[in-house]
Amino acid sequence: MKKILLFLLFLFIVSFQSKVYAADVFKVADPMTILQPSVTGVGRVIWLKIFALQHAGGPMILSANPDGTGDMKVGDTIEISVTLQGTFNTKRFIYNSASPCLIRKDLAPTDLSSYFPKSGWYNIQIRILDWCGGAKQISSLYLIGGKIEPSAPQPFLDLPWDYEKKGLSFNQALLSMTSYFDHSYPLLSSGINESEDVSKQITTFEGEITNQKSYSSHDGYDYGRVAGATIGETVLAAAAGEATYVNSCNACGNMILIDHKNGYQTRYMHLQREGLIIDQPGERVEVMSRQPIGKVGATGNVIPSGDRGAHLHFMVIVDKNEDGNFNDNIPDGVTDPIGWRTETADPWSNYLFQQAGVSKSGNKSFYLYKNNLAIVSSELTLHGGEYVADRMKLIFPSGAVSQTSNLKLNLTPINQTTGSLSPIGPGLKAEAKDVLDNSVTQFNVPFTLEINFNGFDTSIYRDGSISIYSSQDGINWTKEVTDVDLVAKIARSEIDHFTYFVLMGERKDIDVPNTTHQIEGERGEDNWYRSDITLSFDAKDENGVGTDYTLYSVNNKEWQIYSEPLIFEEEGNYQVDYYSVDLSDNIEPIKTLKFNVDKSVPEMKMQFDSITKDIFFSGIDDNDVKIVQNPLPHRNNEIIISDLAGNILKVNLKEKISGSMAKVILRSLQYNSEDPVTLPDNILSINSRLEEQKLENRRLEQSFNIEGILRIKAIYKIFNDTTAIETDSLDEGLNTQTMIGLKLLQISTSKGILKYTLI
Amino acid sequence: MSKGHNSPFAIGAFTIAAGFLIGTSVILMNQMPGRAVTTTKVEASNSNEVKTMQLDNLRVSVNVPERFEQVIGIQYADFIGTEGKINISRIATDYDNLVDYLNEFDSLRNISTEEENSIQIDGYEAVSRKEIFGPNQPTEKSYKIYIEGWVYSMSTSDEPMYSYLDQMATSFRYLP
Repeated sequence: MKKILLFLLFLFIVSFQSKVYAADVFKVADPMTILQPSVTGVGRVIWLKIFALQHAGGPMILSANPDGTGDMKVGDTIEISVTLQGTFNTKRFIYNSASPCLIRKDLAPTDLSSYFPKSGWYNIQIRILDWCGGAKQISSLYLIGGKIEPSAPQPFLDLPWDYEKKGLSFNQALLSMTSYFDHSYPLLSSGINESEDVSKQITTFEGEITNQKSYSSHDGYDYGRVAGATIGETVLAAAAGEATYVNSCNACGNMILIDHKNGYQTRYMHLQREGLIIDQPGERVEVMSRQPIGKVGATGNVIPSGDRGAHLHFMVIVDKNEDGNFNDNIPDGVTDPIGWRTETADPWSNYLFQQAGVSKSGNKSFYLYKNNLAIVSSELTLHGGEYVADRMKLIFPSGAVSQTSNLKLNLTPINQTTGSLSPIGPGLKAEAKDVLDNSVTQFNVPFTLEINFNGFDTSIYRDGSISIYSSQDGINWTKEVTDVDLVAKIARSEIDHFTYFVLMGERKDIDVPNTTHQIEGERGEDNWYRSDITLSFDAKDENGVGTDYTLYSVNNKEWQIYSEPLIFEEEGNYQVDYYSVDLSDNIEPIKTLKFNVDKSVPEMKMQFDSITKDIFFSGIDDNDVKIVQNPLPHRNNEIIISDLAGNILKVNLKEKISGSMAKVILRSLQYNSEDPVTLPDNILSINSRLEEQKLENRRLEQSFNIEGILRIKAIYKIFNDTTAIETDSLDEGLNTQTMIGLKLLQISTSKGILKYTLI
Repeated sequence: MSKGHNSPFAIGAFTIAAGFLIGTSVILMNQMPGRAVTTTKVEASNSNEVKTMQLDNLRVSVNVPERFEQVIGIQYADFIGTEGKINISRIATDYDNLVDYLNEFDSLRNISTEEENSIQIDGYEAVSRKEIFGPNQPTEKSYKIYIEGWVYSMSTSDEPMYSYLDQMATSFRYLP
């Protein structure tokens, strides 16, 4: 009788099932407790399930949760037998969780992929056995086939720049992207081409398929001027982690990568060279969340090219294969930090592709920002409630409305203000509609509006001027009675109506700052300098709250924040644009300064002038020069050649003209204020007999001698129109040649020595 | 006649009295201070009538045929009729004018355009045109309006929707 009862009990416990599953997640068992008969089991089967499933290929995981996680309680032993249909090859997996009986160890999530080597139908038998006696706990059991979806991570990111300083809310900044993450498909950094059917369109985070937004294949978000990520704006670490620098990607420009040690990496591209937290490839540095790591710039491939295209390309990558290397997860690990915010299937999450012969799939995107995307659309019931949109909180008491209404809260920028009134952060547009879709603008009893202005500098507002304002149309504003807690930075009003609200204060300072410049250097004519230049700015905010910062740009390059005097060492023409912003955000109009640095002293050249029949002196310089000849005693002359920057060459010489003969002896050269250079004995002689009566006698004899170094003679004869040239130099010895035409001997100075040229 | 049954006279008297009481109550309630004020939604009687749609997320309003279905996203709105779909989007740009924006738009997508006209919509710089995205790609009729660093795009690739698009563009109002 006892055996019959045991058998019946066995039949009761064991559940024979033969169902067919075709989904990716197969629920094998619900949690249960099996009361073991008093007789200690000796490998007795206390639970059994037989079924078939169709496996689509890929991994197969056994776990307690349907997402591939969770340790499993499996009695004393679990046995899983797997047979591919049409074969006799059965593979068996066994796990003893109670060996010995007193020590139990749950079964961790287990990869059974090797038991399911290919796609197809499998017969599966799962048995749970008793060895130790006593009650048995069995947890949920799932077989998850194919791709296992990752679970949502804890949001950990901030937007990587100070958008609030620009008067933007998180929502406004986040949604002011100029280019989107393309969910169909973000292959940009991989070099894999999209198929033609999707090559001109993008799919945004909310499932909008459009060819009007930029740009197909983009794998991150671009933020620029509208988002407050203007050129030179400080880029902040979106979360703590380990930063590295990369400059090997031409299109990316200067790039900082941060490994957040949670399987995610963020990348920041097109940064300026200046201001990088590290700037050597291979360097590593730990960064805190919101620590400055660089400045928004236009390096790499930006459109439009140059400063106008400055923006921050911000992208996020998951280490999908968990090997600590993010580069091998491009593109399959790139992910949209705004997530996928629609019910339809995410094309990127389900995308299958080949990369270097390896089959890969796209990635699931989760919302990763710590701040909520604050678009409140909620029910306002008769019982009231609290509703939060970014920094705004509306607290409705019971009975504020007479019937349940739909409440919509949207942040909105407030631009239309008057006089010195200035918004402190964005405004709020609050709307409610009852069940008949009628607008509710007035409430039975007041609600409380709280606006948190923590993080805003209130010192720029007149004392007592901060208040909540309301408006029906967003244009005409009414000051509400407001309690302002300057310590907690919360403003609070009791209000019985909608629609627009904003916190405003009267700015103490509405005047723009004034920036002056000072140039130190050796100056020539207007805006010309002949030495290194030190340029400094001095910004004053008379009667204001003080200057916040000064920006400058040299030759239309990147804007930089001025911190110390600028030194210009290289010669060239410079244009420096600059302006300052005060702490009250008053922006000075751009001022422009132009100057030129020319540190090269002009040189002198001399040659016979066939028109004046005299020796002609001129200057050699890249720019205009002035030349002055001063007579000195004893038939000496001084020639002064000066350029626009005031660089001066003084040449001391002796000139003698007698009949057809003209002779010049150069004695010394003096460059600017340097010591004069005494020249070796030299003489340039010109004998012009071009006016002789007989044609065969008409000639021009030119000679130049440097004692012991050079002797050159050039005789031009008109009758055969040739110039016979004889040179005898220390270096090259004697050389003669005849050249057709008139060759003029030109002597020039060059950094303290004399050179000749035949022209 | 049993005691449990009401006479027709009694029912009628009760109905009149109840109606009077309810009516009086409604009037009195509406005169009470602090009562929620409501505005009544006007129902359209004709399917071709238009209504003014205020799209808060996009900060615009447009006149839309009542019969169109709407899909309102965070950064876009689709208006769907039996003839096709019209999309309105709001796009941030780095450009300070529409011409430069369109130059980049066209070159990035390698598209050609037809019937391009510079116009003003709601007092803002705008362009209407047809955008040809290439072989096997739809041609889109679009309006693009530049407002304070943003470009509003209103477009459709469905030819029967062209006249509705024109109508919506004409009624476009920016709500700063």
